[in-house]
Amino acid sequence: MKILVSWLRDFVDVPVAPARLAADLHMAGFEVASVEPPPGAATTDDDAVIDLEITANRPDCLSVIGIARDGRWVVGGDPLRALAAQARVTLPSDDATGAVL
Amino acid sequence: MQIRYMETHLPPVRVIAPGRVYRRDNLDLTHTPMFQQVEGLVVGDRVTMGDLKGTIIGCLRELFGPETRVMFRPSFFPYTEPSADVFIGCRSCGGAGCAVCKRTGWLEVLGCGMVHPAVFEAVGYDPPVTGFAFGIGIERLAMLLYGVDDIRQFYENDLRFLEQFPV
Repeated sequence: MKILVSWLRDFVDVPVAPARLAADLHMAGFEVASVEPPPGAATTDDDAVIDLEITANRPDCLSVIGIARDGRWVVGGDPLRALAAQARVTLPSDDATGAVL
Repeated sequence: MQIRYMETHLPPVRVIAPGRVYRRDNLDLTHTPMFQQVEGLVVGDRVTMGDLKGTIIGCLRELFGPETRVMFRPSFFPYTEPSADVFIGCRSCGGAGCAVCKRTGWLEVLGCGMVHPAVFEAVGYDPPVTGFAFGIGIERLAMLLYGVDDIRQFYENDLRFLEQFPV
């Protein structure tokens, strides 16, 4: 599945270069097939299209939000909270959501 | 094979099961619809992932030399949890990256993992029995060891090829 790093940034902070993110996801069990510059760009320094092979036990990661959530150990932030903010939905208290994240 | 053995034997278990594997696949340099696989299964009290890693690393260093670098990467197989793909440092480029290892510096050699508890449940083994299992495609291994670049050569019965491997 192809993931655009800048799309991932809508939900979480990505404090590392796309190449490093790809390498970390790779070693976390999401095999990286390729890392390519996004259309119109020459390098992968700022943004990249990462082609991930998602194994059959991780259908929860067949989405940008899924990768964002699973990749929280390498990226920063709170993907569900960011999603809720975009959808203008109010989440329960931090403690309550902390339990389900 | 492993299931059938466990169904008829009590732990501890140590099995090596070589055999032919058939699957839908397209013929190319590294794939055939039929190949040989050697599976291993170890079951006993408190068999750990450390036992798995030690066995695999020891086995690969015996085959490819004591300096061989070995990498485990998380993966998924339905009957093991956790599962891992195992890689060795590329022998062509020493890890720098070349065409043989697709510029990754690593060559995938086998898959392995800790036997899923549901498997033990299915064969009637009670906790706290644990175990590990692995599967190695031996053509893949032979290609790396002897520098064969086309897997199809093993099945073409070309004497010029076969006679290079005296019994």
